[in-house]
Amino acid sequence: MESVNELIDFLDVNTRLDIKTLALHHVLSLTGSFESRKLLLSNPKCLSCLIQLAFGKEEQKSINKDAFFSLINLSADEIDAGQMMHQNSNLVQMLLDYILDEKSQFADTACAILSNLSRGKKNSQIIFDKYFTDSNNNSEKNAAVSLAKLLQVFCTEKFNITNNLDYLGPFICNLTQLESVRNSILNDLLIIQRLIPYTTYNRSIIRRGGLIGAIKNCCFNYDYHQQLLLSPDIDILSRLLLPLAGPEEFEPEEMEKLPDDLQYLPPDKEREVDPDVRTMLLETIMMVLCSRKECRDYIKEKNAYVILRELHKWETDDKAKETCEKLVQILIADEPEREYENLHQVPVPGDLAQKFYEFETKELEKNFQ
Amino acid sequence: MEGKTIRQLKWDPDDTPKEKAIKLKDEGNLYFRAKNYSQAVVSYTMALKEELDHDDDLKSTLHQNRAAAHYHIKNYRSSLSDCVFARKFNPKNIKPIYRGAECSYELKKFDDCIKWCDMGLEIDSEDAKLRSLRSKAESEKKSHEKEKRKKEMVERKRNQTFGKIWSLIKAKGIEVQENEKMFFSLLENPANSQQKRVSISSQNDCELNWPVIFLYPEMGQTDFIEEFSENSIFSDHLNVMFSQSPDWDSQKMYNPSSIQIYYDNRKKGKLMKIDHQMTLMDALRKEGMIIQMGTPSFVLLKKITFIKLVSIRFNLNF
Repeated sequence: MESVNELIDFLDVNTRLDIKTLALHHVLSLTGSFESRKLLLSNPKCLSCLIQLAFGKEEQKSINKDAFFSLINLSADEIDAGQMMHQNSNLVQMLLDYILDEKSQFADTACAILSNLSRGKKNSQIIFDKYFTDSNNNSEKNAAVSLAKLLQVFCTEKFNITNNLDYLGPFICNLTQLESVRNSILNDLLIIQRLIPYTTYNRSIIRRGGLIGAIKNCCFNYDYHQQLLLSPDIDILSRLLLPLAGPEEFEPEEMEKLPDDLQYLPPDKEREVDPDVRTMLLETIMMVLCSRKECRDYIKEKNAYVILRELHKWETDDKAKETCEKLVQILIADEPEREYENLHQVPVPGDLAQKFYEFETKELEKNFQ
Repeated sequence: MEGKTIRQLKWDPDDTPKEKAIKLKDEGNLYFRAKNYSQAVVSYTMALKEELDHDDDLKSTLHQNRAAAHYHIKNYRSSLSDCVFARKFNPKNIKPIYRGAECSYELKKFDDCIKWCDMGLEIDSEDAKLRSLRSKAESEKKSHEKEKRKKEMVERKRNQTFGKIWSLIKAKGIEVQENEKMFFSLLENPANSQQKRVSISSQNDCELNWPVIFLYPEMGQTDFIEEFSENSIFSDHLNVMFSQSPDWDSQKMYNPSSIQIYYDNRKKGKLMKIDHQMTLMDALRKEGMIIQMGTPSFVLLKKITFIKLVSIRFNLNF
């Protein structure tokens, strides 16, 4: 403990460069383990020094970089992340400002720290409430960042020439745990239009996965399903199905029914490579599918079935295959009676619920064997 | 040159370049309002030739106005380049951005259109016109891309079929005069667009159906068989074709038993007999049989007359 405190003392901005560099190296390697992270955070000086070193414009680049990496590691656990925000209330603001400056050299690491900090719902709530401007009353808080601005930066290619800001994807995904964030995204057609093309963004799985997670979260707001699905300006179904579609050819009459984006795909068309992301896409379609008759009708009419059929033949991941099966079952089943239209809200009798629960547990165990 | 006289009248020799430019701009605006867009372009262009050094606002306006004039006479490319300049001299001006988006849309550059819209929306994220144009561009882009993929698929399919036909021909030991590339272009654009081309049989994908020409040099007549399956024999066709005497054979001299079929042996330069019971494929594989223009041709003569015609060469033009 004492030695750690001594080490932290060397992180002071005014320490001689060679000693500071060495001390920072040690701290960085310490942040790799769970116990030493607790130890480091127990001394408030550690965090404030690291922040100073990370953002310090006078520091050498390698110092900035190591300090940023230490912060990534420190924020890896949800509880620590909460503690960090509590210890230093400026951290999030500094990170946000840093990311929004297109010349920031380590903006990617800053994004990664934010993505770590925001992982738990509670932490997301703190970040959003405290550091984001409310679209309704800007004046109350002096925070300068709006969600719209952040999303716009995310969607601007080459906003920062040396950083691609992919980790904003998971950060945005984390923020969409909050209903207010979901609503402000869903209420702005333009934002959705800009975001959804990233479901097929093949340069970065981080960005793509984060974005698809965010879309999935947004689909928890059932009231918006019809708008998302049926408005030709958004056409979310194409964007969810396209990553699931392969190079298979369909008969002309089957093809014509598909959304435009899915017609005449080339023979080198590849599916989403990550099975977890495929599952997420399928679950998102499932959510949209379940809520209303109109949505089911639309998805059926758009011939989503043939894409899922081919995916099922091809799929090798158990979880994704199972999700695909469930989805197809709803798709080909008879339409439920009017009062049970929203499948999310169908009451399940207690004894059946118990049975379902047991069945699921068994299935889960099977997967882990 | 009426415009010129007006302009000269207005000009005061003591005008500064800026004053001249403003006068020319006003003149351009007058033409613009009178819907005389090309004359408006001339005025704005002359205004831009004045020395306007640092007057970026005026330069921006002039480019923006010229962009508008160009747009109305459908010079979308020129308009677009003016939009770029108008924006450069005044980045906060939303008008040339909107115009730039419109031009890109007209030029079917939907990605560019979306970029212009986004530039404008950065200035005013609520601009309804830009938002709706952006939506329009997105959906146009989709159908545009779909059509493009469709075209590519059709082409791919066609090339596959052509490749298959070509390899079947080679595998069967049939000679054609053209090389692969020329043969493809022949299949793609036959000399006569109504003309049938060699195709793969729908029943058996290793079997070809050929268009075949029968020539009757004695009578100056030809017959065209659109689909001659390579596994069927000549007599089948002859029996059907000559079940009734054709109009040109008033003397009824041609019938299946009086006809002798020949092919032109190009290596030996003479006509060689073909048996009526022979399949088309066997005939096509004969020594010296070279298919020209993708269409095999055969010479049909009355058996008795052949001797007289032995030395005749045929120049086939079709």
